[in-house]
Formats: sequence, C-alpha cells, structure tokens
Amino acid sequence: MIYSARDFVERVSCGEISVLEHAEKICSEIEAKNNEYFHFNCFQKDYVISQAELLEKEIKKGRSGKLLGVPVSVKDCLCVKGLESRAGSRILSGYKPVFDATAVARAKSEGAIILGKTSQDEFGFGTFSIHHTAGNVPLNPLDKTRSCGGSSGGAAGFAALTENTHVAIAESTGGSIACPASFCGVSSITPTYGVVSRYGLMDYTCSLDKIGAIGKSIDDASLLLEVMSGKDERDSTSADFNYYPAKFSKMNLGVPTELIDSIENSRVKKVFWEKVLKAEELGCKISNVSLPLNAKYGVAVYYLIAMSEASTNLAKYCGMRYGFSKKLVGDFNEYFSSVRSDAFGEEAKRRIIIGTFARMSGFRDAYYLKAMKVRTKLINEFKRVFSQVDLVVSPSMPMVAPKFSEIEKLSPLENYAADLCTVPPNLGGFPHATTNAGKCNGLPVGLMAIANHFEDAKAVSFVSALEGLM
Amino acid sequence: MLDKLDVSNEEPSFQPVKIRNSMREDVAGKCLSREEALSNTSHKKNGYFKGPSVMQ
Repeated sequence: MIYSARDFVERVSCGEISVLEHAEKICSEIEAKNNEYFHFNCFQKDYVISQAELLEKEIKKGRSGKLLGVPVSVKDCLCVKGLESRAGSRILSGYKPVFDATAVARAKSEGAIILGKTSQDEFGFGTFSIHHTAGNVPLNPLDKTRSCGGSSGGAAGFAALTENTHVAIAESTGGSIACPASFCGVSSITPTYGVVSRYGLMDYTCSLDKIGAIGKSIDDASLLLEVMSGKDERDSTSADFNYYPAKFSKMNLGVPTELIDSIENSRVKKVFWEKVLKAEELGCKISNVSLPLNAKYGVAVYYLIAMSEASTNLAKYCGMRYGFSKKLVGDFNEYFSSVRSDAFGEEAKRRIIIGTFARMSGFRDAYYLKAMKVRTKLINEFKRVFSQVDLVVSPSMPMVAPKFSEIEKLSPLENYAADLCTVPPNLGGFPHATTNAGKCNGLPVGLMAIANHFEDAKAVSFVSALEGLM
Repeated sequence: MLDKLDVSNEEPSFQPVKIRNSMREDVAGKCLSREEALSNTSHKKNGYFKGPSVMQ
C-alpha cells in the first residue's frame, strides 16, 4: 500500500513508520530502476540516507513537520546545496550549488528528504524530455518506447513509477508540469505566477517560470505547494500569498470551444468529455466558453516571449564561474563562443538565436513588445471568461504520450504546436491543476482545470473532488 | 501572424500578474563568502575569477 503524503506524515509522527526504513526502501527502488527508466539525473544513496538518519534522531526528540520524512525529488533546474544541478545541460556539468532554492529549503524545513535531481529537457526547452545534453532521456513507466512528456519528464515519470510515498518539485514555463503529468497519468499543480519563489531556479523565461508540484494524487501535490508557497524577499516577483487547500463547493465549469475544436485526436476528446460530465455528479454546471484569441495566438506569443527571455537568461553561462569550462585560450569572444558551442544542445542554440533576433534593435518593437501587448489581450480574454465561470476545463494535452519514433518525425513547429492546451494558462500565469481523466488505448489522458489568478485552491478542490469519484 | 491584431490601445504585460514595487531596505544582508563564490570554478587566481585575455 502506498500512503498519501498526509497519511505518511501522520504515521511517521506517531512512530508507526520509520523514515530511515522508508528512505532505504525508496533508495533501493531507485537503484534498481533508474538504469532502466532514467528518471534521475543525480542520485546518491548516501546523501539520502544521511538526511534520514538525522531526521530519525530529530523525530525522537519531538521534531514535527508537514512533510516529515516524505521523500521529495527535485527537478534538475532547481539548486540543491551540494548536489550536482545541471538543468539537463552540459554547460552546468559539475556545478554544485552552495545554497538551496527557496522551494527546496522550505520543503527541507518541513522535514522533507531530498532524493535527488530529476531529468528534464535542457533548461526546459521541450515538450518530450528528449532535448538534453546532460543526463538521459526519461522513459514512460507505462510504455518505455514512449515519452514521459516534458520538460519535467523525470519528475512525472518517477511519480508514476514509484511504489513508495513521494512528491516531486517540478517547474513549468509553457506546460512543463501539466504535460508530463498527463502523459504519465499522475496529478499536478502549476500555481499562479509568483506564488512560489523562483530564487534558486535556473530560469528559462523569467516572466513565465513557475515552480509547482507533481504527485500520485492532487492532494499530495497540494501539500507540497502549501509548503513551498509564500513571499520571499529574494525574489522580487514572488507574491504575498500563501496557498492553502480549500473545501470543494459546486462550481460552474467552462469548456473552451475553439481550443477543443483545434484538437484533432477524437479519442482524447472522448475520454476528456466522459470525465468532465462526471462533474455533474458533484453538482457542477458545464457550459461552453470562448477563448478564440488564446487558441489562435497563444503558441506564437508564447514562443516569442519565451525565446526572447531565454536568450538573455542563458547569456550568463560562459564557462568562467561555474559549470562546464575549458582551458582559457583566446580572447573573451573566442573563449565564450567555444564553451557555448561545445556545451549547449541544438534546441538551446535554436532558441538563443531566434530569441536574440526577436530582441534586436529594429525588431524588438515588432516582435517582443508586440507579443507582450498581445499577452495583455489574451489575459483579458481569460479574465472575461472567469467573470462567467469558476474554472475553465480542457484536456491537458491534445494527444497521449507519443512514441520516440513518432517524435523524431515532428518538425520544430509541429513540436511547438503540441503545447496548444498548456500555453494559454501558462502565458497568463493562471493556476491549473491536472489529473488523469482516463485511458485511451491503455495510455493516460490528462484533464486540466484552470482558475483565475490566486484561486489555485479552487482548481485543486475541484480536481480533488473529481479524483474522489474514482 | 500577430500583425493581424490591433494592439494600439494595449499596455504590454511584462509580467502576467500585476506586481507592486517590492524594494527592500538598502541594508546589506548575508551573502556568499569568497570561498563559496569561487568553489565551482577551475579558473581562479588570488581570490578572484580568472577570465580570458582582454587585450592581446
């Protein structure tokens, strides 16, 4: 039996479960399976056991905590003190942070045991966890020939695979939490932008990045978000808002017509609709809503903003202060170009080049600034819909987990189009909770509930109630 | 593609959520020690980062 995180903490607190024995069990599982599924980029048994031994002693002295003894995996792009943290990139080879990201520090302060760093696309550049230059491609536990989704592929993959209590710290820019959760059949929360501090996150796009949670159930993910949320003076964009779960009450749900019409896979839509209609059993009313601008322009605006900001964020990686380096040969330009040419992957280079072009003098207003103005339109469109309904519900992804052989045939543009459902809420910074809606030919289909800013608890309470119907 | 949209009356959303000015007091806080800052580089000399040549 796998205990929920809350049950687990209760049992640890009353002495029924030994955190050391549980840590040893989950370490054995990772040792046995990671060479087969590659969900962890960095895992050291000694590191995990030493935390558990210390915690076991502290518990005997009366220590408590919301995550007491719960094993927590951390996406590779968040700094964990002393653990190699590479964000899936060779350019950060050997980098061992001297501090913890705030989200990690808060989890530790509530008694979490950090398991290691989960695999991902390089800096989050991908939908299928295949673009990396450090670590391995994580494999879907339901079918190893298929993708876990991206970019938090290792996080979702392990959440689905493990036979032990565990929650995952993940991160989303344009869908990197909801997508892998959908493909692996687990639950997730991407909070309102700013609810979790980005301090210690290796940023992809500052105005889009959000740290969230993945778990076997939405309640597990909710508990982790509760611990991670809150104002942090080290991140000027963090919100003065603490997330707490709320009790479910009947809601009005809106299904976005244009977005659903854009999904070609009718079997995905069928599974989605079957699940949405079950919400009527909860007393929810379902209606159609219209988000035409988000459906039409969302992906284009997202990639303009994301690539523009990524091209500046990645400028700091130059082989001097940390990570990958070479013998100091040539002048600044020659050395930095040599390091970046060797250590960045193809997708990272593509995004840096496109983003730099979009920000160039003469193009900035036409591309980057225009995209920012269109974003205002898209946010306002969502706000109008939220004056009519409590939540917008849609499939998390327009497809089930594809085979790696199918992904190889996609052009970059076809790759980006897969983000159709996840980009709109991410672009607007709207919170969204996801769960498994059912299966299509044995593969999970995700359902996503999107709420207005800072109504994260409303989306979670709905998904939790929906999971309770299973 | 975006040219089809009229955004002449829109303000850009540089952040998706409205953020108020969040300046803190101008007081130095705890920061990394020199040893910590240099702990991840192989290019250092006399307590400083060593970079590639600037002048030939």
